[in-house]
Amino acid sequence: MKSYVTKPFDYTLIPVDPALTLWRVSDKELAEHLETLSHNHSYEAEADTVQMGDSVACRGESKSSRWNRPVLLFYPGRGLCTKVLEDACIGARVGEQRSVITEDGEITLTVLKILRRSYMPVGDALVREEHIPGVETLTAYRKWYRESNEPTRRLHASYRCALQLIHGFAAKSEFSLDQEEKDAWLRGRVDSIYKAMVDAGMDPTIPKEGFDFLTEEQVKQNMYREYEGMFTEHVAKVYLAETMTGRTLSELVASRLSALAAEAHMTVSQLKEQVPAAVIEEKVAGDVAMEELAKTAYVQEKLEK
Amino acid sequence: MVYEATNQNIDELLKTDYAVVDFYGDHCGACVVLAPVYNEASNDLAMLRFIKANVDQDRELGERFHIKALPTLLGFRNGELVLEDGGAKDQAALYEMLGKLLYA
Repeated sequence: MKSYVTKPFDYTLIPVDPALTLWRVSDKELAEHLETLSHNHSYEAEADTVQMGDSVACRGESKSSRWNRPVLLFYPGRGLCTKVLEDACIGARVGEQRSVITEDGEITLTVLKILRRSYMPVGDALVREEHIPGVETLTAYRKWYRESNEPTRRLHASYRCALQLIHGFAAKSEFSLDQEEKDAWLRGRVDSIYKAMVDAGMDPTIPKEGFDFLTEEQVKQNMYREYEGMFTEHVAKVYLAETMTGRTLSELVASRLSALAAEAHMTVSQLKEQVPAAVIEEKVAGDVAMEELAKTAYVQEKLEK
Repeated sequence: MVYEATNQNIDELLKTDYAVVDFYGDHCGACVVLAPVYNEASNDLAMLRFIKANVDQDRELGERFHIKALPTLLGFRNGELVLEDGGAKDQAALYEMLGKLLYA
């Protein structure tokens, strides 16, 4: 690569937004999750008399075809229709009729079925319904839930922090940028994105403001200016990836090709045929820079707070 | 409860008074937003059949219903398509759509 970092900024001086470091499962989240489990294991039973919160099936009779149906469903208290209609059957028993006057005229509702939902209470019995080996109590479930979720969340939090460090490093370091290399990189990106937009049925020449259509060249020039900062960030990522691993970008790409191909459900040959080398290099540089920064003591300390 | 549809079983699933189908995909962010809201609604509103269909896993199903964007919600009465909607929704927006399915 002809472009390079001339003065790297010390990434440990870049602050990390505390919001990015959150990974632990909070008590609130656990409580909400258990509430959802309780709802998922809820069951319906037929009831005698309509109450708020029930589900009610009625036969509707009316001069209006909208309400003259063999089955109308009502859900008192949920606000799916007008309150007058929704509450019309409250207190009614199966077989009972109620009349309602609406803007569509009189509607006679005959209650056909009343279902009431019961929620399984949060406790050991609910947890056992999940059939998780070795998890028989609420205490065990809480421990299991944290152990199942926190490691991945911590990893993702470390990646979020790393990405913020990469942006900061790119913004504060100094670079020597080869104009030809930069132009070629940006042109490749702009051409790919323009083609993808057209292939997806979009017309990039439609202006965001005004009525004068743009030419293809004007669109591409605008995109070039918009993406200019990305080249600097790419040079930063290559620098970080190579410096932190002690390997060149070519070596890193070679070591990751099989995994990249598998991720894209392709063979390595197909990947090389269909994806431009610059795109693969960009992905590898970005991934490696992120992974290496994520492992640093600086980031790991942030996650412990 | 939300039933998972395939091209093989959807006709059977739609044989009911009222049904709603959530067409979603594996890499659709808006679908992820809608999913828990849809799931909770299925627990709350009995006798309205909630169905979901993964168009990435079953492309024929997506093509059969001309699905162009995700998530798309289709409302059916007695197996007949009567309503089309879509996009990430909170509970209020989803219930507004279901109100149209049930009473329009």
